[in-house]
Amino acid sequence: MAKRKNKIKLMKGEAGFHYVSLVIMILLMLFCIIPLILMLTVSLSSEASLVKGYRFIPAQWSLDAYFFMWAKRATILRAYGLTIVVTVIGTIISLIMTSMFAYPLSRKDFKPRNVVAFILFFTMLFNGGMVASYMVWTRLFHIKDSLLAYLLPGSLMGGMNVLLVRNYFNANIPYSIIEAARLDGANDWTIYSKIMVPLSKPIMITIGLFSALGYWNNWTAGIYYINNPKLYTIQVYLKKLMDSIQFLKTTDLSNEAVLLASRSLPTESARMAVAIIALIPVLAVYPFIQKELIKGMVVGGVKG
Amino acid sequence: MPDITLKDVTMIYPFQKVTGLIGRKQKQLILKQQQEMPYTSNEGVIALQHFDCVFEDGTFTVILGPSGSGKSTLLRIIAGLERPVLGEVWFDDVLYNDVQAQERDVAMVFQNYSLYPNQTVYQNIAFPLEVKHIPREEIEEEVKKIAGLLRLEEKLNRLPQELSGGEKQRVAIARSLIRKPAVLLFDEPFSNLDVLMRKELRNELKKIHEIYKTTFIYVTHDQYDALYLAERIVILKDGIKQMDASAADVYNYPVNRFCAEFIGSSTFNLFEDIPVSKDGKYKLFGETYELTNKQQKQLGKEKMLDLGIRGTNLAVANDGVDAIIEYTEMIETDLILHAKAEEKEIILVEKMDGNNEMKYMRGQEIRIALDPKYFHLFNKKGERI
Repeated sequence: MAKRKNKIKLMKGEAGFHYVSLVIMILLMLFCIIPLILMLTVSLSSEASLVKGYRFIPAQWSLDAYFFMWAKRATILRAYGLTIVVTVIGTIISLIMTSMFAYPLSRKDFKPRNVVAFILFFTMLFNGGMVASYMVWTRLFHIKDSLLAYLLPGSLMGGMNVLLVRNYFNANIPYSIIEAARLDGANDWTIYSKIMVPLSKPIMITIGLFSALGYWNNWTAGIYYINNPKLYTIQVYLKKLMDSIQFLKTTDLSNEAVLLASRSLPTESARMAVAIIALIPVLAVYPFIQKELIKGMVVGGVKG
Repeated sequence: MPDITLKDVTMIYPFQKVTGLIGRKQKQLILKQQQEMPYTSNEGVIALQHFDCVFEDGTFTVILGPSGSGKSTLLRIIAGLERPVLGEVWFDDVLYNDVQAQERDVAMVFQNYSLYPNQTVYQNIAFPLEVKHIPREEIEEEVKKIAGLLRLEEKLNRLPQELSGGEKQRVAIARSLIRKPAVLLFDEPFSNLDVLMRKELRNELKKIHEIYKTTFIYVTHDQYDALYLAERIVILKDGIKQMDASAADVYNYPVNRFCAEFIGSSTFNLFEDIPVSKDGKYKLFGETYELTNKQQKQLGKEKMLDLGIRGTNLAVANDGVDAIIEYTEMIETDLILHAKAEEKEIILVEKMDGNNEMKYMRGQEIRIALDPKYFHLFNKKGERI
């Protein structure tokens, strides 16, 4: 039996649009993936070969950067562990606070919801500025050189996330379910915890991922508020490493021995190796939550 | 269990605020549309007007009315989901206007079931007891009992999305009943179900009421639901109570033209603008009938009346109005005859004979007997005279 072609025929205009969008999507994908590939190949290149610039295929393969990191494993593992702790705790607190803020905003019987939403929206556009924030956090909350420095400033609850969750609640959970629960005798806490949150898995995963990425990649908090090297997260460690390398490169070293030692350090490749290691958890988790993430984005994004 | 008393209850929904990035003309158009709705005041759309009613303990009352008549609003006010702008809601001797929904001991069955999609049938039914922190063993016993009554034993581990519409509504009823509320409210619960399922659930609901003897208030626009279920029917139109009586009285003695037409509408014959002479006589199909003195007074100045008669009160006879059958409909054992007499359409309902054979055919000439004791007479204001 002849094999039947099961192709959907596109109309003339549609086909053009189809191919143009395909090309754009491929280009966007390349823009995202090329730096990642480059990061990996640079981390696997010898330091000497990088003098001429970055290459996609290393001129000389080397694992020096990873050996260098292995030598520093105690520091790196501590930073890694700290990053995981901050990310997990921060994400959980952030999810609880975001969804608890969004719930009353989604309730029609909460009269001041528009005023509160406006205040929330206002904070998305305007804030006190860097200096004022720094002074508030260090002098009022005393977060300097403590783990709270990673958790509190800026990332506990984003206005955008609250609006996304509120929209998800409004668009996906029929209001009559809340009314039924009220008539069944449930108070607001029961409605929130037993009905709203379990029904909002996609948006919770989306917000959780945003928040976790924010905490994982947060290096500014460490730079502003942390002086104790034992409290460095992986990103802060990476930043400090880069700064040190830059310092060695730019300083006119008079000590011959230090100069020689600095030249033998895998500087560029080590940077990339740390970046690769910092990226692994995100790359490992993403494929498993991709579906829910897209669902949450699409549904939470509709209806302003 | 308390009696529920509504006194002078009025509900106005404020006009929707027109905001957003739309043109001024469009805004004005939307505002104008809102203001042109049937009953409005300066504040908004009036959903319920000066409504008085007492729902006695253990009774089964049906609130009947067309869409937009305010019946769901009434239910929501009793449930505590809305607060009336005027009037009082009493549960026995306690004023309940400010009592929250969760504290009212009222349960409600919604049209769209409103089951918790993340919970199994068991969890859904058990939910009202769980929030009351009843011991687990007791909850299990109660759930099993009510699941048995509503034939849900086999479905307890399923999620709502795995159930049919009828089963979902049974779960909703079970969830409402499990905590034995003082009042059970039904907001058009069977509207999404097919005819057979409706019939089945109507029977079950009647049995449940017999068992639990709780106050049932049932809102519907379906006259068949109302006539089948109700001990008492309250008819609403545009937020105003039209009639409050037993099912038989609503059918036999409608207080106005709206009630007469709304109940039994498919076989109700209405002959409009019949002139009445000074001595109170009027003619229908050549026959002369006479109004009583009281009726003449109630008629008013216009000297015209509307006459209604139900198809079930008409019969094919040897003597009567000459008519020709235009077409027939068969509904179970009833045969609905659509006939024409003197250019007027008449609908009458005949029972099928023992063999369920068609006695009447299209084009057949018949005579229809009219009995004035079944006439419903209305003045031009629509009031019964």
